[in-house]
Amino acid sequence: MNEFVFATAQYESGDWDSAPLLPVNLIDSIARYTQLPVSPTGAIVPLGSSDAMRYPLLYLTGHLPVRFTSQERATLTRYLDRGGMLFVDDHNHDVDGMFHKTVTDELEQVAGKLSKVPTAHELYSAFFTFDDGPPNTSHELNGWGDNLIHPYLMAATRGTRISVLYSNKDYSSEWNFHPDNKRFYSVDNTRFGVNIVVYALTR
Amino acid sequence: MSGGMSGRTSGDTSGGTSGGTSGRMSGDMSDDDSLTRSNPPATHGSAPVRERILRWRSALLAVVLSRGVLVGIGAGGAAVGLSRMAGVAQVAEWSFGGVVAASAAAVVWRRARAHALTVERTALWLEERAPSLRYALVSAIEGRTTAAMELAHAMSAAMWEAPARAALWRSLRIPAVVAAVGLLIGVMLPRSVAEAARAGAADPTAVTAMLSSAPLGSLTVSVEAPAYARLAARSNFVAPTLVRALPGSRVDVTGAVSVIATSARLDDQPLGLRPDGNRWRVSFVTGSKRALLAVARASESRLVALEPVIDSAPVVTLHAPARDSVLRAPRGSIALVATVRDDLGIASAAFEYIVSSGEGERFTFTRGTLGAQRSDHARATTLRASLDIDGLALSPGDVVHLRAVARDWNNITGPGVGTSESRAIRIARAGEYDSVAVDQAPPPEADKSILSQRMLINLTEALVKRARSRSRDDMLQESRRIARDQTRLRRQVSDIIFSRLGDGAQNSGEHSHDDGHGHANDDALVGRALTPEQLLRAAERATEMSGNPLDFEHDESPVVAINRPMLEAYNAMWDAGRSLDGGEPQRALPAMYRALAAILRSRNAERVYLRGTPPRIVIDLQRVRLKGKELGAPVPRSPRLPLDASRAGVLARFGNVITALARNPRAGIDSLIMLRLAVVERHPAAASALESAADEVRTGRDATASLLRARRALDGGVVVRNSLPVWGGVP
Repeated sequence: MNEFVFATAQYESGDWDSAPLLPVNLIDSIARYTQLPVSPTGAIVPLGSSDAMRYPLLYLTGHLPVRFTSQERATLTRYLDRGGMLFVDDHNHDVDGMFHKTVTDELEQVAGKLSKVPTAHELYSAFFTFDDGPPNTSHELNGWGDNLIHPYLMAATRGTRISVLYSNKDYSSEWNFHPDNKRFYSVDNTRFGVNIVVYALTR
Repeated sequence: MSGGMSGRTSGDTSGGTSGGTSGRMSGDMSDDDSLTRSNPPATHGSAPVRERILRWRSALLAVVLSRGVLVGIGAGGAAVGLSRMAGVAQVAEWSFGGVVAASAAAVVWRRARAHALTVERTALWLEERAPSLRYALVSAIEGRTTAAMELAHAMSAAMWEAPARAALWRSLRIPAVVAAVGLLIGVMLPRSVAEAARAGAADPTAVTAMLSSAPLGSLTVSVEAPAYARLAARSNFVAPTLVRALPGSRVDVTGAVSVIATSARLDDQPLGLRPDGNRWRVSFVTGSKRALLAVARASESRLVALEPVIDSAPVVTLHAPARDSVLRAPRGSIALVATVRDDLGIASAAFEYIVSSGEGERFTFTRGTLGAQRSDHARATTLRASLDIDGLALSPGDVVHLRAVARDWNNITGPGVGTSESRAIRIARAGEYDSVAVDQAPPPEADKSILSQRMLINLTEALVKRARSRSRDDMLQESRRIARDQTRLRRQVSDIIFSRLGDGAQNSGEHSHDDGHGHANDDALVGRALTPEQLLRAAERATEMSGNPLDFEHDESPVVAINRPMLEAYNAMWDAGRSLDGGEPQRALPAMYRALAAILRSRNAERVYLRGTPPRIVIDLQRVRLKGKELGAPVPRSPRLPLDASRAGVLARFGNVITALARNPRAGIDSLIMLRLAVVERHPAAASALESAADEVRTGRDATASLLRARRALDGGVVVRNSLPVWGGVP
């Protein structure tokens, strides 16, 4: 069986690599909690490249404005049409920030309208169960960014399946630490990342 | 009226009138004594009575004329209807109707002898309708005697208007009915009914049945584009199977037969057909989605596919600046040039910019537009502006994101917005050119990704405090765990030092790709400390290997000048790690303090960045596999459908269409149209072939080639792959 490779989308505008440790942290969590065959390192894939088709899940984040090139739009459209899933997280945690404004504009052009993911969605029970929907982050609870706690994630769907998952919760900050430092947490805050991966691979 | 009036006048005007009236008067006056008493004789004799009768004479003339007109209308309408049923031309039928109408009116007037309506005849008509006159009116106006004068006085007081007026209205009833019936026959009767009647189906049931069974005939579709498109010409299609129109277009569909027994639906929405002469007509406005117009008549139906024509968003190309740039200082201006094209017309265009300032987790943004243009439906334009860098008051590290944006006039589904590629203009940070990072975004912090030196010091100090209460083995284990973290941090510092030196440098530096837990692929440097001189020599070699000499100042090489604080930290970390690994945390602390101080000096110098080379961390899967404290409980799932699951259904449907074509070509055409609508988005080539096939079948041509083409397109081409995809998706 082929192993899962966690891929970070590299886009031409903005700071795509603002959370460099998130991939390995989630890879560690996947190994720690599941038996999914997983590659020990992540991959970085240009969003405008057809190499993106090799990965079932792409992770995209940043702080700066996102303007996809026409090649990136075309590749992403094809990627989503073919069943890929894109997970986008606003590293600014700011609905008034330019990352949010520009990337949602781009995503709606490519994937259609983003709508709220209900807290009963199977995304929240794909592996771990989150009865209250997406877990809050310390950035939200500390009042950083837009000083809001976002109760919902947003998503665009292909059929009944999420094709683009969009988060304002700043998981990019929350999960951007070396996996060895999980030992300092009483409860692993990356568990929801496992749900995202399991959902992308199995739904 | 005409008969009654003419009969009365013809028999009474010869002299019988006077005798009759005089005889009637002799016996009546005594009974009407009160009338005489209450109305004293007038000095003018019969003059007031005569005037009243003259007014009534005018009214009678008007009524006679009206009767003639009404009867003429009725007769003319009936004549038109009859001629229509006889199948004469439309001009001829109206001419014939006119002649008949005029003749009928003339006959009515003639029979009423309106020209002979004298005062006496009017009086006679009145006294016949008003019993209160006691047949004395004629005598009153004719007599010259005193008795006649008195009678005239009496008559002048008599009230005959009400019964006479009622009689006038009654006389108009029948002509009005005649006119209505004639109009109904002549004007309202559609040609199709006349045709049916002419064919011999006289009773209404038979007429309706015949109309229902009449063939649907061909449809004519006229399309008028929405106003914003400014497309003057209407498009007309005769007997179409497919009509393409911009969303918001007005579509007029006209049928060749009567509206009776004909119905139309647009998808599930019934449409109201209206008669248009002998044809039917329906109008509607197209939406932005595909739709199917179905027209039915008895057992016959016709389908017309309506396909929206997409109004393309403007195509915007940014020509200048041609690429992303880094400016050493926020001064000067940048020329901006973009071209815009649109299929129907450009409404506005402008350059948009966003300035992002800040770093780390704190960013602020400002945005604005430049060089805005409005256009009156031009289909191409060039946008020019100048970005004043001084005016933006940029700071080092700020990034200006530029793009051109254009909108079209589409007020139905739009406006369509087109954007160019974006360009990023970054202002360099101070000292940036001394280092390796010239990428667009600011570099992350040096110690962001690892357990910091300060944290390691805290852990070591805590361990020293607990040393007395712990066993030697426990303390050794804990100390070695800190040593591993210290090793990892040291290697990170090594990566920083050599990161600017390229691949060749990696061979010289401490660049093992491990997780710091003893699973590294050790290179030549791992396992032994380097003196600063050794490390610097290695860095110098690496510099030479890169083949790209770097700037330097004074007598130091750039590697030394830039990395000296980090080299100190590196070696201090070596010392600390060695002590920790030997279970001597107390001895490790001074070296750790030195390392921290060196790192802080390095950070203050703002010369160390990790940009472009994210830390490469390899997870030891076997070590961590299923070691998590929490337990997940995956819920059952349903497998996803194959990507081409829809293709099998479409192919089955195509087979049914072929069967239908063989059995009933007309139904087969409808099925082809519906299949075309279903596949046009996913399989446009197949849709094109199906459209051709429908046209060919409809016009009696051979559609085999088109159907084969459609079949091949729906089957999908042969895909050659060199290997299986990495995951379930098809590459």
